[in-house]
Amino acid sequence: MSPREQKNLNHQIQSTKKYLKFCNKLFTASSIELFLSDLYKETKLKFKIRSLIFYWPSGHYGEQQYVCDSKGIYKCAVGYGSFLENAEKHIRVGNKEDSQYLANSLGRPVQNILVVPIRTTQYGINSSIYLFVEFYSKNHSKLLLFYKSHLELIMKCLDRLLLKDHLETGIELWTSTFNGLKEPLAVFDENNKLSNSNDVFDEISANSDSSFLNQKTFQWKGKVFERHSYSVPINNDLYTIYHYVDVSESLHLRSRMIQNIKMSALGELGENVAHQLSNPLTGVLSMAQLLLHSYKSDPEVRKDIEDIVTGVSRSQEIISNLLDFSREDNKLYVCDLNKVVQKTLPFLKSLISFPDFLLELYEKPVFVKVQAGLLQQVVFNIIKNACQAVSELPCSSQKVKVQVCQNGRHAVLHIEDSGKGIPVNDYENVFKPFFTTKGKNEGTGLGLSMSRSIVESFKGHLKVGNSSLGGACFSLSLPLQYKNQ
Amino acid sequence: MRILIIDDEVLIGKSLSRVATLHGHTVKTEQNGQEGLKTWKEFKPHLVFLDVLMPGLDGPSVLKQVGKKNNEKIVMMSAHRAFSNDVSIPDVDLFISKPFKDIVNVFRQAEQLCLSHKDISP
Repeated sequence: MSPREQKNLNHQIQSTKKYLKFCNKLFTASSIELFLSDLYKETKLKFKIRSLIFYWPSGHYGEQQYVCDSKGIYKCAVGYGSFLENAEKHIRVGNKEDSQYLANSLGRPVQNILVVPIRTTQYGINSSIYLFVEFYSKNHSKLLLFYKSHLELIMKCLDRLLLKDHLETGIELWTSTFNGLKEPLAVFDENNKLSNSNDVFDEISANSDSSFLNQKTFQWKGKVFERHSYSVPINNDLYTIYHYVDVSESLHLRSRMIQNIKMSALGELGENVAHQLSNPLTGVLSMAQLLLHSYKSDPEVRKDIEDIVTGVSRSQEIISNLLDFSREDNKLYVCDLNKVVQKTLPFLKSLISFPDFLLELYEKPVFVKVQAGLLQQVVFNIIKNACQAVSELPCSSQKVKVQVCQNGRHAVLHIEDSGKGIPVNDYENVFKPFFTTKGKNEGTGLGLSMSRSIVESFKGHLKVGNSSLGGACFSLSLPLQYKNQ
Repeated sequence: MRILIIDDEVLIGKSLSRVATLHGHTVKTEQNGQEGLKTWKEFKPHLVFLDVLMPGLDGPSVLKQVGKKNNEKIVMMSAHRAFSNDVSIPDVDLFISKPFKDIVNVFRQAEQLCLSHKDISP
């Protein structure tokens, strides 16, 4: 080999190396922008290119146009024109419409234009991407040759980049959706190994022991989740999706519905009993009243009959309370909070079995606009809780105080007890559904949350704090009404 | 004046009857609708106390069958709240809802209905 041949060969090797490097660069570009600027840099000097413009008719973010020139790479507005009509198949040079189109996009006169339509396998059969090459030199045969021979390479590179972009967008979309779900979600493979899980799931499993996984329902931050599982085939394997559905609201509604059904059953029963009893009681009362007239002069008999009258009157009162308690017509009536409390106490008789039960009513009627029956349930509930809170104490320290008062424009009912109270941290939790401090069969934990929602439906508030008696103090406040309203 | 009391609750019938008798009226008491209807036709009362809910023939049905011929006053009594406000039953002069608190008062109210009629005396 002569030195000259040697030199030639070396030169060829060098240029092939350079070329391979270029190809490699294009192939490994990590984004369309980088790919373009590499392509621009490599061809700029060789072919005297002024700019490369990349037109992307249907990307994920719609129509886009990138310009790559000595200033770098930047996005630019899409021009308007009709170049697309004839530019679908062949590379063409110096077309007038193409120049007009680009001049409209770039806002400046453009040099000679080479349009390279690039078909890609992405975005369906008809999607073409266009590369505009703006060049200075009049002799463009080398440029044309370059693009003709590199078209395949460019297409492959773009395919890869578009696919990558597509995948990345897809993954991003999928992950954000998966993690954005407020309900825990986990995917397990055939060997029951966790293969994927969302943020909420991770948070829960990081903060609790793993037993929740196997439970049909579990609680987290005051919500109740129910496990639903479905099988999904992924790559010929059967995966299982565990979807923990937030059922707090529906449980809450269901309990409320059951409560309503109970109340209306009680109402129906009560109404029936009340009417059945009402007749004979009226008879007894009337008869006793008449006997009272007849025995005016006999003080002993008179006293006995008076006792009968009192007894019957009281029975009638109880019946009428029972009717009020279960009345359910969903209308708000103005009534006296003192009376509501008074009428509720007879139902609690069995629980108030200690001497230190203090009832302080307000000296004047305190009118509130409520469904008396529902409010009675709330009052019943809270007094019952108070009595239960002190039930384990020795009799002498069992204290419950029920007080009706006025505070500004609010009617207020305080129910205090001498029990062990509620920790400050739980002041809000006690009103969450299913939060309970009682034993498994003593309470569902729905009483207070239901009570609060009832009170709020009357535009009132229900709070808890500390009592000077040592235990909890529940305060129920309702907007004060004036009788003529 | 002739007073008819139709009520299946013995003590109510009895006590109403006693008050009426004490006030010097002639009283008949029936415990069911059928008997009440029969007596109503024969006895021709000036004032009738009629219970709404009775086994067999109820108050409103008795009223329907008897028609109102002699200008008698009718007092209807019911423990059902729905009935006490029901104005759709014609010919009823006074509704009394049960339970009532004072029987003497109830009777006075009923008696008042008849006082405007001069031709009726105790």
